[in-house]
Amino acid sequence: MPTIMIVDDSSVTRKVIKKHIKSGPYATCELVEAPNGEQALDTFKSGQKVDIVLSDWNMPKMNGLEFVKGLRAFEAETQVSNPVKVIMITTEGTIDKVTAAMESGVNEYIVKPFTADTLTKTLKKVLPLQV
Amino acid sequence: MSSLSENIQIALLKTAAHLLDTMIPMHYDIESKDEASMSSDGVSLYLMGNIKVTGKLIGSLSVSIPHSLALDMTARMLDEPIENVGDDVYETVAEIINIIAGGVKSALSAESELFQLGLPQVLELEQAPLQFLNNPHRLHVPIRTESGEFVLFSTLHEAQ
Repeated sequence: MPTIMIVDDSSVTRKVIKKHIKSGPYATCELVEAPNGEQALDTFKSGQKVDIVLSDWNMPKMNGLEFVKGLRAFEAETQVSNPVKVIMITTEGTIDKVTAAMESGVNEYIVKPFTADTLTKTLKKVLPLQV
Repeated sequence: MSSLSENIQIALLKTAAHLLDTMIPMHYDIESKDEASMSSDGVSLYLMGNIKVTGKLIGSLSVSIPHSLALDMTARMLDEPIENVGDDVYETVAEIINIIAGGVKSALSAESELFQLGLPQVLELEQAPLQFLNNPHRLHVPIRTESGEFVLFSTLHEAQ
């Protein structure tokens, strides 16, 4: 079963994302959470298998962009053959931000506020449903 | 009203409407004139979410939400009953101002980053925020919903 990691300092936002996932076609995915990029990166380094990351940008300790850069560096160091897909979910949709995210290894970008439908459609882009 | 204030007001209204159409589904009536009925509820507790802005524009963006409305908005966001003003309600208010501030930033900084946003802070207050009422750059925008009114504030202005 695929594993989705939700990285956000807001527990309410993590709950909203979990609610959307559990009520949609990805309901059977395993979910893991982290309140900041630092803890998320530690989770990867501990060997946790993750297929998709849903990460906020603005977080204390280590923000989402720093986390993604660290994750991609870790994947390069450890010669990971199948890099994890990263969806950035953030409040800022400026071209500067989106470009910086994509250049750092983000695969998809969702601007808040968002709906369950938007989340599902974006998940399908990076992890198509098995028929 | 200056062009900057008009643009901020439009961005506040559009982002609030988008939020109430998506993550916090509720009926609303947007009043675009620059007068809010902040004291109409008498003395009541409310939560104030605030984000500091730095860069070519400085100041802050804030939202004040009465307890009862904050409870209802949290319940709608999480799709579960919420009875007490606790962590979930505080975090919902933080996320609301986070989303509103992000929307304003995106609207004003279409191509390049005009300003940076701090992390949201939430306080519980018993009276109108005088520091905003007395601020010459103050802009406040009331948003009426089926469950009560909340107010968005901006003190954004160009850095000298």
